[in-house]
Amino acid sequence: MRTRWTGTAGALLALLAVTACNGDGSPSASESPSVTPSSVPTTTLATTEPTASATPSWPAGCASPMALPAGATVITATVSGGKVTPPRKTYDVKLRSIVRLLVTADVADEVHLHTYDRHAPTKPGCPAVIDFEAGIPASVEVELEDAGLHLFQVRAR
Amino acid sequence: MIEVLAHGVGGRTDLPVPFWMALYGAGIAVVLSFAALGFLWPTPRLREDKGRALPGPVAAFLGSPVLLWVLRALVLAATLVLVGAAFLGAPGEESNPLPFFLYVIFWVGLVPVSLLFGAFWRAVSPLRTIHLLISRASGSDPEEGLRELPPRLGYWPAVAGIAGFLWLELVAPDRSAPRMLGVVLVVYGAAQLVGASLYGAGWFARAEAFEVYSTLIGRMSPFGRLPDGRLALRNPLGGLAGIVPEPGLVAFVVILLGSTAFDGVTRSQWWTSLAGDATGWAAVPMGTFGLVLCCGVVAVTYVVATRAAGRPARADGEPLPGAFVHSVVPIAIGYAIAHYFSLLVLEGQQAWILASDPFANGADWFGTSDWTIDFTRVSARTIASTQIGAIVVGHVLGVIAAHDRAISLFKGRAAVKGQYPLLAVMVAYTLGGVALLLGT
Repeated sequence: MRTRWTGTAGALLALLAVTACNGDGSPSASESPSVTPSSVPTTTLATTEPTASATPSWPAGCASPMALPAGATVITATVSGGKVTPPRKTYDVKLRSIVRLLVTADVADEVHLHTYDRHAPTKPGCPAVIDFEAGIPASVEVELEDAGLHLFQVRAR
Repeated sequence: MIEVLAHGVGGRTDLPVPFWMALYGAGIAVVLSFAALGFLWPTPRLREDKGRALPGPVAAFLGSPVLLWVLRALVLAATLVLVGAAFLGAPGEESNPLPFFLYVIFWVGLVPVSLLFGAFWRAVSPLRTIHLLISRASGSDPEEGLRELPPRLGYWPAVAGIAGFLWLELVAPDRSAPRMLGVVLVVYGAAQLVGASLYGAGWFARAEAFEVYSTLIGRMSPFGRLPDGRLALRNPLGGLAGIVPEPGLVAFVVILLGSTAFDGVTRSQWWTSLAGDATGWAAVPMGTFGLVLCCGVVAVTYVVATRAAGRPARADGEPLPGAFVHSVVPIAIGYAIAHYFSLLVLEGQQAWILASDPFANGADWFGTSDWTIDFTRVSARTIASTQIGAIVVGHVLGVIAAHDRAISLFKGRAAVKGQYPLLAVMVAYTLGGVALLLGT
């Protein structure tokens, strides 16, 4: 008999805890990204650059990229000495938004956007640019191909 | 083109599950655990030998030797083509079918197939087929070897095999290099065949890691055999209760659970910031440490919890960790489904693309070599619900299985109190599993 009470009490307590914890967050309301309990800021929304004009100080002698539509997200990273700056991060972007990856490296290599399977060459002095529509609801890896260096992740949701 | 990263094949990871979904899932698991304590049956009910015999024509079809040999031939042919492609096909992992078929179709696919059909790999394993053919050709009995398999060996050889494979899949650098994998598989197959000729076909059931894996999962299949040999439909939990613990089985299950947990850990942002920019062999020490640590945590928590269950009523009973290992199997299966379901459904579509041109010579055997993967075939919401659902269902089944075992081993109050430690550990595994799906 006692176990039945323990069982019921425990179940009710747990039920209470779940509803209290969830508070006003209903299934439809809390689709917001990055409800992460960790203290380390791990996700950021990438910066939105002004459109129409190409990125200021685009190096001479490198094919300049096409103009980006309004509302596009630009993610930048720099590779020097085998290390990526900012250190490997995850970027959240809106599903089906246009995203530009801008990678400046000090070696001749190739930037590979997984799953969408896009490549762009880098060389010292000329950044790699990949423009794509983030249509796949997943977290995809971007890496420097030959070095096998993971640059960052892009999450579209 | 396929890409390789993380655990063998990938480059794409699932989005974190919505927080509210994780919370509800965890909550349901905990609520049901307490409810089980209070309300589940008081006398043991799960048995392996109960079931309803399948109707004649169905049983005849499923059990027919013709079907069996057709499957064996197909699997053997596919194995030979794939291993051949490993050496003769494209050198890179993008167009060589072997790494993909090994890590995605075989390793992940074995779970649903075994859940559905039972000890699938034991029935169709190409190694068993080869051993059978060699025995027939030389006129010897495939079941007999030169010596008896020592009972104390138990499942330890399979433990070594599964640990090696999981290290290869989760930690090794260049883990998808086709030539290397071809060599590994040939060496593994040869070693297994030598063992089988030494100890008879019973060797495979103790030492072939994938067969042990498939047979273990197949314990939860709705199909089984009655004591008189007839095929029957049965309660999956009854099949689970029929697991006979032998030396090494606890280690095997612990490694399965720990390695899947480690796979989840490697996809978290916490791990990626910890691992930094190390690539190739530089990343191996940390990866190995992480894998060993995850398996170690599972091992210690499980053994402590089962030992703390108390002293069983029967003095000659099974040591407790072994007696309860069957209840961890559903949890391990739930973890596996949660982590690999989307890989099978999305990247798995590569199967027919790669199968059309295994030797990278421009062939198009099935007319599918120009197909592409549809990454939106299942929505992120479906993936998330399946992940949480698998963990919670695995947890609930594990709790029920553990409860039934506890009341058969202990008497009265001791039976209830004996369940607390294991229940707590199972809740911890489930909360941990749900937390891993949050991706932080």
